[in-house]
Amino acid sequence: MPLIQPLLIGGFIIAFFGYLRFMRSQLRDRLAATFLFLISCGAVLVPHITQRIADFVGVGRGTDLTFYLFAAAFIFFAVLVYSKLNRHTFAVTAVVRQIAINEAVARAAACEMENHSS
Amino acid sequence: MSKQNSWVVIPAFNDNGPLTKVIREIASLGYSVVVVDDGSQVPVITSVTTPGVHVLRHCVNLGQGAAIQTGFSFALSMGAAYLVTFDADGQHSANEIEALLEPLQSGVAEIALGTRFAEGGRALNISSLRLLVLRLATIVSRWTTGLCITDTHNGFRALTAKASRQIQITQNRMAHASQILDQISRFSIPYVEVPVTIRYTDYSRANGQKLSNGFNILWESFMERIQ
Repeated sequence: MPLIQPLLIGGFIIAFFGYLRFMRSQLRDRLAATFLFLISCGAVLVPHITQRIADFVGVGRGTDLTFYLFAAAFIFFAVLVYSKLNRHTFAVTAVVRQIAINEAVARAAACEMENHSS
Repeated sequence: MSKQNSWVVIPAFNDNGPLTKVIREIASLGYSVVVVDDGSQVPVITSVTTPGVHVLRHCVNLGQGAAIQTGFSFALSMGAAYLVTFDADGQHSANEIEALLEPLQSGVAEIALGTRFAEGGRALNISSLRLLVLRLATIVSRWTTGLCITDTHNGFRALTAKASRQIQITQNRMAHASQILDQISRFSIPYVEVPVTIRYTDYSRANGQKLSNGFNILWESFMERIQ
């Protein structure tokens, strides 16, 4: 077995189990990560399989197919991260806004009470 | 008509310029004022003694769009009938608020957009580059929204309470100005343009919107459209 194979597989295992252990995610995301992990391991352990799939879909070279799939996966994850970031931004904005408004309403009420009493 | 139900919303961030003077001018005309300190390192206003002036503070910096929406939400909760957005850097003239509110109070429109480029409007001390960028941005805004406008990204505008409930600013940063135009178009909100004077000063140029932000605004507007 070439040295690169255990190195890559070791990296995939660390990344995959690290994701499952430390990242809170939905079942859908965990399934997608598992699928990606298995595909990656398969491509490393049985390299000629990518060539066979490439021949089947008409890409030409297995390397090109891997590159295209990697590019597609990168775009997919970039959009996913962007969308999650946006959701977090909305949530933070709503909280910060509500705190600011609550403080101002309380100040206005205190001022009014002070004016009434004086 | 009482001016107290017209609320002027001033977003501010790390201001050490004419904000106090701006607030005093507006309050002296009888309008209610809400200053939204958008998480400045040092609070822009430490204490308020002027009646009718309210200061809100974001505990973190979110952006001008978020500050305006916070000001709108607060003013509406306090019973505002009209809302005006006004810059903190002294570019706008408090005396022109009345002209912006007039078409709303007479029922002609729900939103009055300040324009520096229509007849009667002025952009004092504007640089040629900024003028060019604004002209191009206006063409893009007309094309993307279908609105017949002569100016874009002019922060001096007025809305009725009804319109400001329809308009929901979710673009926290500078793209909110494009988002407002998008929503005017989408909800078919009646609008008019009102000529105003924008006075560029060294302070406003140093602290105001950078021209390079144009790319960020285009990007944010594009991402909002595809979401």
